[in-house]
Amino acid sequence: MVLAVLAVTAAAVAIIARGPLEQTMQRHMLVQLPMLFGTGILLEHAIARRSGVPATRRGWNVQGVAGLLFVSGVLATWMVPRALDAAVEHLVIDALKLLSLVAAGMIAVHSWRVASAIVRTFVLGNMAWMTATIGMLLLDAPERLCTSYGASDQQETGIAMIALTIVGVVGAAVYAFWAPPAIAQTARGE
Amino acid sequence: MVARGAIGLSISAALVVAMLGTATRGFSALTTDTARALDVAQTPVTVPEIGLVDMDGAAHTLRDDRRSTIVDFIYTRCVTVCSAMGGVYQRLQSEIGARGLASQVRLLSVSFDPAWDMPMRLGPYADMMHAEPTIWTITTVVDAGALPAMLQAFGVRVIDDGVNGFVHNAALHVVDPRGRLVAILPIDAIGEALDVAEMHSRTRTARR
Repeated sequence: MVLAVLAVTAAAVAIIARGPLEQTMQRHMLVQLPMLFGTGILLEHAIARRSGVPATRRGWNVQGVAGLLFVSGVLATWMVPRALDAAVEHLVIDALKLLSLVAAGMIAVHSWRVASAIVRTFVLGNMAWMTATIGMLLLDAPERLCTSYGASDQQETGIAMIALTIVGVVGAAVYAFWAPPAIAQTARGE
Repeated sequence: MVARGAIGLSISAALVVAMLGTATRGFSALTTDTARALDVAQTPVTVPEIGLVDMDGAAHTLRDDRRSTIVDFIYTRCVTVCSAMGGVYQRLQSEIGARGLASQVRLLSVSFDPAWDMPMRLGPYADMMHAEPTIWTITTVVDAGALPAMLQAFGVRVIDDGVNGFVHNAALHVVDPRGRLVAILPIDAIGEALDVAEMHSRTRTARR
């Protein structure tokens, strides 16, 4: 219940504060997008506590690979400068952004749970690579990539994304070092 | 179970391709500007007929000339991208002279800041830029209310920079004598802009 309330609150804030959150690239990419993704994560936890996975839903998402592919696709899509501009300018696109990110968050929880250590490592590595590359691209681009945002905003977002990648990779490494049995135990598929 | 797994993976892959394909205009453009330039090159866009006024108070539109027009959007207080544009337009102007294109191609700068850039302020700017009146006209819109539609048609987005100025995308917009936007080119594509403009001018068509 607490999780559900938290999830709905986060989604409501992301929608109501759309203007200020999307005013700069940093807030848009590093605050609003994670908020929406996090909403999905909370929502899935809230729902999953009440009911298990029904038999009809088993088998579609072997090792969580299909789900995690979709999640990576959604995250990659909202890193495309043209997609960010479209979300700022068109309410319909922004609504699609909200729905896709919340769905991605929900699917991520379920998929992560059933993914083996190899799949998890691959997905984390891939996400780290993608985030760092986009970060460097934003930092190095001689021109503005989004028509909605200024050049210094773009560079600062690039630095923040590279920093985020480093923190994520170091965090994952520390976690893997301290909790190897937990990860090993989950390597069992669905 | 294996079949379900394969179907699940296929659906997911198809969704990812669809999402990324839509976001990137069929994997052809990462930015709004690139997508807009490709769209216009494929299908020219008729731009709205909006009243413009120059430094002498004379009226202009985008369809009042037999020549093609290379349009850019500026504000005269701008010290960043517009001064670069100013340099580009000076080079365009001298190229038009050197290539003898003065009867086929003209240059038009439109200020999107009519509140500050009143006709009386356009004169000093034109002087500073050494704008040759027969080739290069510097204007602003008569009715500020018409500005959003015009910027929209050209794919120009103007945002507040937070320090009393604007951030805006700059490009060379080639408009034919019928008022159709036929090309959006990067600001350094001087030769290409002149070629496209010459190709679409009426004088050239008449000569054939």
